[in-house]
Amino acid sequence: MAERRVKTSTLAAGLKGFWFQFRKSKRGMAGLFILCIHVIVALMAPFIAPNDPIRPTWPGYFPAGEAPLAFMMCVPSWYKYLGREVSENMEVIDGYTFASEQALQKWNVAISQPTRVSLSYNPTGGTLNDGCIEITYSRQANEAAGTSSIRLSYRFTYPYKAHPQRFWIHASYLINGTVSPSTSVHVSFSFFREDAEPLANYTYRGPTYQKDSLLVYEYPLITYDFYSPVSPWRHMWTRSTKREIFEKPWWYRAPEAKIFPTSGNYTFTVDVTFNDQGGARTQQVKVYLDNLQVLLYGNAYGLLGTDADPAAPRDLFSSLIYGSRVSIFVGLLVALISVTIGLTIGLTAGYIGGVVDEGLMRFADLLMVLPTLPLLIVLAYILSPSIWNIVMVLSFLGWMGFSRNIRSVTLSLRERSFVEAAKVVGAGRFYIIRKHIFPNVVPLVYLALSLSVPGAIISEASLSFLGLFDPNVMSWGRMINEFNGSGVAVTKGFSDYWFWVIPPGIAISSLAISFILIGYALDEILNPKLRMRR
Amino acid sequence: MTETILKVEKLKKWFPITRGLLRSLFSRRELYVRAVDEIDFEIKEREIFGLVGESGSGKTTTGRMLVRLIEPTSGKILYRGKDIVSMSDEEFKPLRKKLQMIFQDPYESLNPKMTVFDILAEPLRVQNVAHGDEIYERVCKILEDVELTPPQEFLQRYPHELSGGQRQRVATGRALILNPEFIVADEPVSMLDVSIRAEVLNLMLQLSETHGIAFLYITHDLALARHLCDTIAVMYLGKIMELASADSLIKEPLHPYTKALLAAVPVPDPTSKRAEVTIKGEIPSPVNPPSGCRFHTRCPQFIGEICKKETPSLVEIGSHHYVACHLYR
Repeated sequence: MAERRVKTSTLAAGLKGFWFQFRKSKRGMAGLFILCIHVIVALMAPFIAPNDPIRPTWPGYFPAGEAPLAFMMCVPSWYKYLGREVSENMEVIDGYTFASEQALQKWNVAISQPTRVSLSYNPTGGTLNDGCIEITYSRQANEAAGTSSIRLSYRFTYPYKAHPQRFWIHASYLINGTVSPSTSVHVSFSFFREDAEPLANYTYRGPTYQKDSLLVYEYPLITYDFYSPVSPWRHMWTRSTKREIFEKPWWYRAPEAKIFPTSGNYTFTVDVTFNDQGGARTQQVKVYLDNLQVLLYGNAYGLLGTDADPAAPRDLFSSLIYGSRVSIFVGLLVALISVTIGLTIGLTAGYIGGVVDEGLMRFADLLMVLPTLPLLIVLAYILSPSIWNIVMVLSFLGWMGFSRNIRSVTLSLRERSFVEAAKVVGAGRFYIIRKHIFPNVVPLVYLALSLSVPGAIISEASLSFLGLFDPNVMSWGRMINEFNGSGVAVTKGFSDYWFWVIPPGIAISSLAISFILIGYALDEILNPKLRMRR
Repeated sequence: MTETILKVEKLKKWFPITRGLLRSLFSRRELYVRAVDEIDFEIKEREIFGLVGESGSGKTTTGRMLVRLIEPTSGKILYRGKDIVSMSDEEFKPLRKKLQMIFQDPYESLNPKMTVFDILAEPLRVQNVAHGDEIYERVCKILEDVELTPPQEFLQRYPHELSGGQRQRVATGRALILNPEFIVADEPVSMLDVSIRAEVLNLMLQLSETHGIAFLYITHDLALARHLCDTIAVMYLGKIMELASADSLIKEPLHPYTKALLAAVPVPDPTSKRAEVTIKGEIPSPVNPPSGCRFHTRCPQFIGEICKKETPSLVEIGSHHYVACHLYR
């Protein structure tokens, strides 16, 4: 038991002394502070970043397919405090609209023929059997045919002066009826603006709506002709599109701007029209509507806006936050691996010497004289740019300098008499390297670790900038690469989209600088000659 | 008659000089530093054998060969009749317990990253002779032996927290902890302050008596050798010039080189007359040692061609007094 009382490890004591000296270095503490911020951000990324960094989507239940998180090339939402007119994302009608009877109370219902058309809430219907609305049309065989309709209106306030960039309307529907084939059901969505000037000659696909002082914009959802009486649930998105931009008149080019020219009160309506062409039978049609959601996409999003991906724009702030993970991970892992390789090779070459030394050092020279960046690009390309391959390639090309360093120190250490003293008591090579040489190079290992991290971070960012990034992870280099690739700098001007490039740039350099500052502090501790006189 | 513990026969160490590629292409002659050139001597049990000579005479190389830190070029080292030169490392490892070494510089020979406990426990661990508490007890015991008391106070110290004398005591303790029969002490006090030399030396003497250890004591200080050693061998340029018991070597030096060395020893008496034996110049290069007697270039008693041509062999003149000089043929 007595032996256990004796301290046999020097590591803890060494670290304590190390910290005591490190604490005195202002540069070192500043570096450590910056590094801590980065590490905390990287660890807490899922809590800090609101969205997925690669394929963010609008949260919610959309059986018709995911909706994008935001419109492309949004500006930061805090631009509104700078006096800019911005519009933000808005969920006019959320997914629970038709999920309860209370929610239905908010809607205004107008029925043209109340005897034939009725609206009710079906608590067990819907795509998830959690309730939906049910519109019933029924006509007795002896009654006259004709058109009947029901209008559900939802009044809301649009708060932004700037118009939205897009609107997406999601709906699921099911139609079930026993009718004559000539009967059709028509469901459409419309936006109305209160107090709007009439717009002359405004037509769009189908019926023209121009009623007193209301601007009408109508989107047909379905026109259902009864070839088969029962349909399964259908889910669909209806969205403003710019596809017909060259075919339509000028005012069509930005329908959102026409509908929402400014802030104010608006009405969203769902119209269901039953075109009963007659028939001797009793007509009965049930229209079930569920999962109705109306999304308006603004031109501002999040803390740093969004990128220019047309299909699924990313939240740049989330990308920035998650990017720290990649940089720290790659930086630390590459430093760890390359320092381990360098240490092993340096110790082996230095202690064993001879042919082994020559072989290893010539191999190191060979790798050293190869131009690094082209080699990195070729290797990363051949191996396919996954994050592990990038780590492997960077580690493989990062150990040579340190191994030479360790070799030279080992060459001098192995001639020290404490090594001979160990030989005299019969210690083997491995024992001497482990117990005598290694503890004396440990400070160099710390130094090399901290100084090889920034190189690895910047190499990773360079590779990513050149397009050799892992498609499954977001990194800072990739953000800059995507800015470069989007052409925004050319088409829109760099200063309009500075928030896309400057933050990742600052992040890369501040992380690199933090390690360099720590390295300086370590260097100061390990090389007393550099210590400033105080 | 005490038993011979270590016998050295025709021990030779020539270090090859490595030259650049170009030079070795043009000249095929290989050059060697003839550090030790066919020496013979033997050390008996409990004997303190002094090896004296100038810098570069090969005494340290000899000492290091005896503990196999250097492989000899040729020759034999017989430890109790067994040749340790031809042994493999595995065969020799248990013998290392018996053959230990104390190094010259206690500031160098203790690993600065290890505690005193680790330094002293290392031989026990490497040789696998003690475990757990036994290590602790033996370390404490050895610290008491080398008069570092109380041992508990020193166990957790690092070498830089010790004085020079304390360090050399730790180094001595490290050599003793395996209970060796023979220790090579390579100028163990030359790096120490004069005031603590005597302490350390007396400690070593006392330990050799109590533990029954034979020493090969390497020094350039004849006065110290006389005080300490039973037998003294004088080396010059890799050869033993004279070998005798300490008293007879000091009182009746036979070889001119020994005489010159003795004459150079300062005497703390301003009135005493010095013998007028002086040697001039530097020790010649061991790469091209002088032909014949190695000492002939500087010898004050040079007697002619024979000194240049024939290498004198070590011959017994008096009782247990050997000298290699043409004067005594």
